[in-house]
Amino acid sequence: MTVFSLRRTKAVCLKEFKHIFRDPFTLMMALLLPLLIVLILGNAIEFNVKSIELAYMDHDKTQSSRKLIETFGSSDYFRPYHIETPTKGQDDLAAERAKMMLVIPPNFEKEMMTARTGNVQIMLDGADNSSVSAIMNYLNTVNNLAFYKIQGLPATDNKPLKIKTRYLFNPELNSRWFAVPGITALIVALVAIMLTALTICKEWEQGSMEMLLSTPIRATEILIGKLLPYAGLSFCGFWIVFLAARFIFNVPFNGSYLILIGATLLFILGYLAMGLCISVISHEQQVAVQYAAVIGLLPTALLSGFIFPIEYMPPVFQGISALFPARFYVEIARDQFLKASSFSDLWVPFTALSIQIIVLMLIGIFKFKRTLE
Amino acid sequence: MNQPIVSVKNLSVRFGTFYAVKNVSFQVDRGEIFGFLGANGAGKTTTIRVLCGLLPATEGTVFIDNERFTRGKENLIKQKVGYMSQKFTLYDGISIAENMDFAAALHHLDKKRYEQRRTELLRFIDFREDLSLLVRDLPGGIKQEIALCVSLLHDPPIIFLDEPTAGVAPKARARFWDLIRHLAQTGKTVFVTTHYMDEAENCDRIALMRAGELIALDTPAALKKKTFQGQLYLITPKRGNVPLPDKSLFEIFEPYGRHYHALFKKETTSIQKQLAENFNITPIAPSLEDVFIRLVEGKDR
Repeated sequence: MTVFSLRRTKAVCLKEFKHIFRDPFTLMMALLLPLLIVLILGNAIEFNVKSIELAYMDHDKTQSSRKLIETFGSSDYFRPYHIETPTKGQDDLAAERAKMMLVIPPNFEKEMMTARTGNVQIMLDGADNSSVSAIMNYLNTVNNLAFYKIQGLPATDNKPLKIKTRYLFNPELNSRWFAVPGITALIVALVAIMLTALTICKEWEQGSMEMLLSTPIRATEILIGKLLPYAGLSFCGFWIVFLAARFIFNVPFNGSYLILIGATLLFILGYLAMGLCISVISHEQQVAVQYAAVIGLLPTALLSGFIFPIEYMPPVFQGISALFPARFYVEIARDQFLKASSFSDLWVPFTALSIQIIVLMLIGIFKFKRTLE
Repeated sequence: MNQPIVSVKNLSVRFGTFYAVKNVSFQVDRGEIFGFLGANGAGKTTTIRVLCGLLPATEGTVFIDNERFTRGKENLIKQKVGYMSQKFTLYDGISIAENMDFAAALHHLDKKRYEQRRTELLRFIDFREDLSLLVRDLPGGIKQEIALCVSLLHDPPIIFLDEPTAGVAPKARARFWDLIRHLAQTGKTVFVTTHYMDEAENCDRIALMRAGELIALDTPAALKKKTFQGQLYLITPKRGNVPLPDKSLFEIFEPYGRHYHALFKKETTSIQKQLAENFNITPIAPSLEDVFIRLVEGKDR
């Protein structure tokens, strides 16, 4: 008696492919959804804040105060507009019509000319934490520039220490370049975990698993036959995101295709295994979707370093994030898109990813086989 | 000597402390239509699942076609049985041919054998439509017939049908039972569960399950005879507002629509005369439904 039948595995695989290609929902989920998500997130995610509405009150009304306002306005980052009263500024901040309020006191010019320093008041919308940190960075630059303009000095030559900053790998600090590799992880995880969990739950729900098991087919044959098509679909999803990143968002790819594909395949296997575990636990499509969102997608989005840097998380969360393959995959993908490190530099995330995948696969297969038997 | 195709001895299936099947023993002869009846949760499906190798028995022995069910022998047994489950028959999203190809591959049928069996079975159900039709486009009755063919593709000596006609139109149900009878005539053993008592009349023998236990096993005629020693009557009120007779007079008094099936505790002409003022009383032969109600539901009450 055969231990493993390629014919039966192929039959399950073929049946699954036919189902996929005749089911618009699955096809859409696998191919259209990744494209939509990458287009939406790729356009929506912007860590560089621009066109900040700046309400200002100029009590000084001198050349110096005008130069200060002009310096704000001449950058791409601020859009100054005049207000008559502080109350109006506070209302605008509360209603989010302005992100920042600048109050220039009387005697600003006088102070600048005599003491070579002046005080102005800045009020920021502290409720919008992400904008505040960006604005604080810009303020330093504006502060220096305004000083030289008001004093009538050339802006460069007279500093004792000149710091020239060059941003490696992402010279313009383009948010999309940084975000798209993370989006790749999110989309591949979404397709792999959801489709796997749904397809196996569907077999439980409609009772076809029982019919399958009344034949001589083995659990391993069902498993491989069912998972292969979804591994393929998830891989297609990855390429859709990759091509969109390269040709729509012009994200450079400097690394090795071999490393990225290797990591992606490992990552897909990990999420297929997660989907399998979820299907075994839930047995129902509706419940599986909820599990997939909580166990699979939320940690992928929040604990992978895609949005929040892992280094700044509390140690406990850093530890939790290491339980999810997304953390290591995002690290590898971001590196390969922008930095192009060699395999020897990436052996740590690769090893961690491989161990996770082996453990997840073993748990998935063991639980699945045990349920069937 | 003709060995039984199914032999079950002291079979028990326990989930935790709950016995779904308790100490059940029976045999099924070759070529027999064996009906397995019982209310929901009586243990019918659990028993079938054990006999098809889907569930391990907690205790007891099971022989299928002279092969004892032991761990590791599941696949050998699975080659000998066909199974049509209550919940699922065919994959809706693929065609008839694709469903059949799939089943043939699962049983490792070679191409020549598969094509021969497919032709035989489609002829058997007199199916002449296009095999590329999607299953979801088939009427319920046809779908069940195709499912029957699919479960017979590997030519098993016994087929287990778990409520095969549930939700199927009456005409299609009758046709399906014609097919079952033909199957039995060709030597196949049919092990069937049903909720329709009129269908159960077609069985050669019937086993009645209640709360995991086998409470009766015989031919339909013998079951009726054993269950109803006295005469059963159909009692129909002559008018709409007639008060019900004193139930203590009856061993059975079961409503059937606007009629009652009744068995007197003590049959006397005086009682009948008394009742005849308000009721029409007609002697009737008991049906399997009467047997079922008496043996299964009666005990539950």
